[in-house]
Amino acid sequence: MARHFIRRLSSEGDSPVAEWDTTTVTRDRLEEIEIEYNRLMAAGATPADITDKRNELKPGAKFDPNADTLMIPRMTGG
Amino acid sequence: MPFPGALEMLGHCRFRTPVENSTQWRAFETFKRMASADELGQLQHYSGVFIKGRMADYVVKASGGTVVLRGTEVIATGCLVLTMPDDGTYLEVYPGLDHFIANYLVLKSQERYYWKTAILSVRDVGQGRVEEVRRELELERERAGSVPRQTWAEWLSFTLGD
Repeated sequence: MARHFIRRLSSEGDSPVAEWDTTTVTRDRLEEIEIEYNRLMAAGATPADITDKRNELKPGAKFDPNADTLMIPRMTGG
Repeated sequence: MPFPGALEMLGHCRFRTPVENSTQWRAFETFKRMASADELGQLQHYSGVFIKGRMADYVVKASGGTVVLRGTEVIATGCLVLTMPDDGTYLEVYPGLDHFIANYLVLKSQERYYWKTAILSVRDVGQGRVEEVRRELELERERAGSVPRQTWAEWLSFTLGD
């Protein structure tokens, strides 16, 4: 079993976007998740790979179904 | 657990574990997945996490602000915030720990992006030290090499008020 997820930082606090098991997830479901991932990217988010404490921001990276991803909204100097 | 001197220097500020299921709590749970045991201990004891960078060292505070250090000296404070949520609302709506996580991730893996994007203020530098810090930062720019010169110049100009 290999469970992975996408979460995002949001105005509601850290929120789940999707969670799946790579051994059982269907292709259709993965496509749905990828569409949501791309929607967040289009809104200016940056994905961070936090699988096994990698903690690496990956600007522009494509959806990776084998990664735990945290979507970081657009940032600016404040 | 050996805490870095920088955290001792900045003083104790007890971290309050967020109320379960609150917005802060969810961010805290996410950070627990990401952090080492040492970093989690730092957050809980000092309300901040020490990050050793290539261009400087940092203490990212639970409130989301960042202290930039050279050795044991505070050379600047930095602020990088989340913005433009997709519901159209603005800055303050994000919980503080979400800002903390964003700053932590940027400094861990995209340090140059931090220097290009964050607002850095040298207001904590003592009187008469601004010129000295300016020279240090210009030297740092040369060392960084690959950082676009214009970006550094813009940053220095903005920060030091040229």
